[in-house]
Amino acid sequence: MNRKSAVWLLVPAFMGVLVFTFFPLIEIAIPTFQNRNGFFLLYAQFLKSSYNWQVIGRTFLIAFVTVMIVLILGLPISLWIGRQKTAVRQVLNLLILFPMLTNAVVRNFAWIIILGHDGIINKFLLALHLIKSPLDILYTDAAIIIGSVYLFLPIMINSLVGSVAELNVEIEEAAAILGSNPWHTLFKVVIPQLAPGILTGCILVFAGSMTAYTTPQILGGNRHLVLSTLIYQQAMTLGNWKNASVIALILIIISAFSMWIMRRVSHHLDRRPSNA
Amino acid sequence: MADLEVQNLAKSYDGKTKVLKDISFSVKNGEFVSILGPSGCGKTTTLRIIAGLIPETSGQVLVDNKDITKVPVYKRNFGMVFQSYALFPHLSVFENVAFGLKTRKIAKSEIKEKVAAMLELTGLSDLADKFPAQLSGGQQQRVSLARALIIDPELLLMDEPLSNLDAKLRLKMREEICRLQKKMKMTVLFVTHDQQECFAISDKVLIMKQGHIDQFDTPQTIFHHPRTEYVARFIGYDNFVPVSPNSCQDNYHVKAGETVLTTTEDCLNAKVLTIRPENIVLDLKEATQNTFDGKIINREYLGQSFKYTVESKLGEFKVEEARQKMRSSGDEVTLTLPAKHLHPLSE
Repeated sequence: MNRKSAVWLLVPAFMGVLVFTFFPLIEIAIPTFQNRNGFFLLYAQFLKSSYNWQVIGRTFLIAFVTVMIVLILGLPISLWIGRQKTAVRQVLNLLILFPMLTNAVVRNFAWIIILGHDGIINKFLLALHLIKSPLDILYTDAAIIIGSVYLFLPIMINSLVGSVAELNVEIEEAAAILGSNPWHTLFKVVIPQLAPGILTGCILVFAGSMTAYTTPQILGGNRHLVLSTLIYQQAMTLGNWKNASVIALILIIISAFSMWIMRRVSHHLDRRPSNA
Repeated sequence: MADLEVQNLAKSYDGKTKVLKDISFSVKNGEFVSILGPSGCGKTTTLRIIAGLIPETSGQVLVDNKDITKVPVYKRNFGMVFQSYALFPHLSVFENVAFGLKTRKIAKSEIKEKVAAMLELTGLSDLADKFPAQLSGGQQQRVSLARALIIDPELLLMDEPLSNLDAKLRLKMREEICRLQKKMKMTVLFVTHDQQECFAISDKVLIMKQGHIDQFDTPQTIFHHPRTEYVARFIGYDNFVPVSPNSCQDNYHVKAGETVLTTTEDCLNAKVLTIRPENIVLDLKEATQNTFDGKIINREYLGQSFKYTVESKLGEFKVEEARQKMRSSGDEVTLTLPAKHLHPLSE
């Protein structure tokens, strides 16, 4: 089979993407613009409300903080796992991915038990007399971030371990001989080389965190809505499908814009032409 | 550039088997010293301990009589060229070369000036903005060399820097390294497994065998007076004649089987005699000593000469003969081993 006719093999997958991704998107988008009083009326209405801006801000902040924490926690762990022998690395990778095998609802209920007023953390702090009354952790933004970090850390580690394993240790040795101390080597030599892996990890975690539903629903409660829970509320509780669609499209735009920014930052770190 | 002294260096990775056993040698300012040996003999380990990349088990490394054994690698002022080049893939050629200056907190304008001069010296000026992945092997090697030299290192360490290049380029880079070494009066420690390469460029050669030094001398001395059978084999002595123990009669005559062989060197403790294939003479008419009959059993054409395998009562001999008159398998010949080329070895 030559190259030209091989292209036809892509048709089923292409059709799949077209039918199941783009058509529904267009289906969602079109009604939001069908207004007698203006093309962008629904969007303008949505963006006029300060409450909605609060939700957008919270969604963005939670995703951003989650990505940062996951990156800071994931990088050292990945550097350690990536430098192990292949067999050890495979076992560790499996252990890292293990939490992902549990059901999301079950996992989040576990966090309710840990974070609640009668939870392990409060009981522990009370027993040590560090606090006088239980802290409000559950049903706050912090609770959503904790749950998201737990959920997405394996994804970040998984996308970094491969890049770490491919690093040539001699490059770090060369840096050391040229007078670079270990911290300087980490920031100027190791992290820039990992930029493509870090970018992939950040995009996956950011997109996941922006659109996560179960975690903010269970750990954030009704007073700490994010865009995804707001969509659910609009569609399922209020039956306002058009508004839900507006929010969905705004969510997509914010996500896409954020990824573009991440890409720029990554290119600043690693300017190799192959990464262009 | 500076003097280097290594004292009683030993290394064990697992606490049991010693990779290095009591290595001691010194390199003087401006000297080019090669460490030669097969893979696994400990030559790279020695280099890496000197660089500070791995800790020693015991022993000292001194630079200009100062003990630097416990100084961390990034505080030693050495340059190193790796077999894999180990260039920073995310930095341009210019930035790769500038790296060592940046860590030393040198002013930007000075960095620019110095890097430009170094790129000029190594013939890389046109490639300053390229990335390592866009360069050929030889160009990468040059960047790696420029990067190591720009910090004006006290010592330049090279770990098989030429082994990833093709034969023609290897020769060219070899000459270039020589030229730079002489020009900048560098102290160089060069690790290789290629005997020709290291004899061509070194002031002194250190031959290692299983974690210890077998011989440390100038290439000429090693070539003409190998100290052990191991060294002799490494540098192309193909013929080894075992001699009867305690058969040395008057320090210059020794028995191999029933044959008495004459040497010009003291053979009192000799266990084996060795001679290079090109030093054996076939059918020498006026021969009076070290001469016996043989029969050719194999022939190889080497271009400049023929290499024969000759069977005799003292075993098989490899003989290289420049004469273009070809001999054939089965020919009867007389072998003569000139006494001045016959070296007694005690190990």
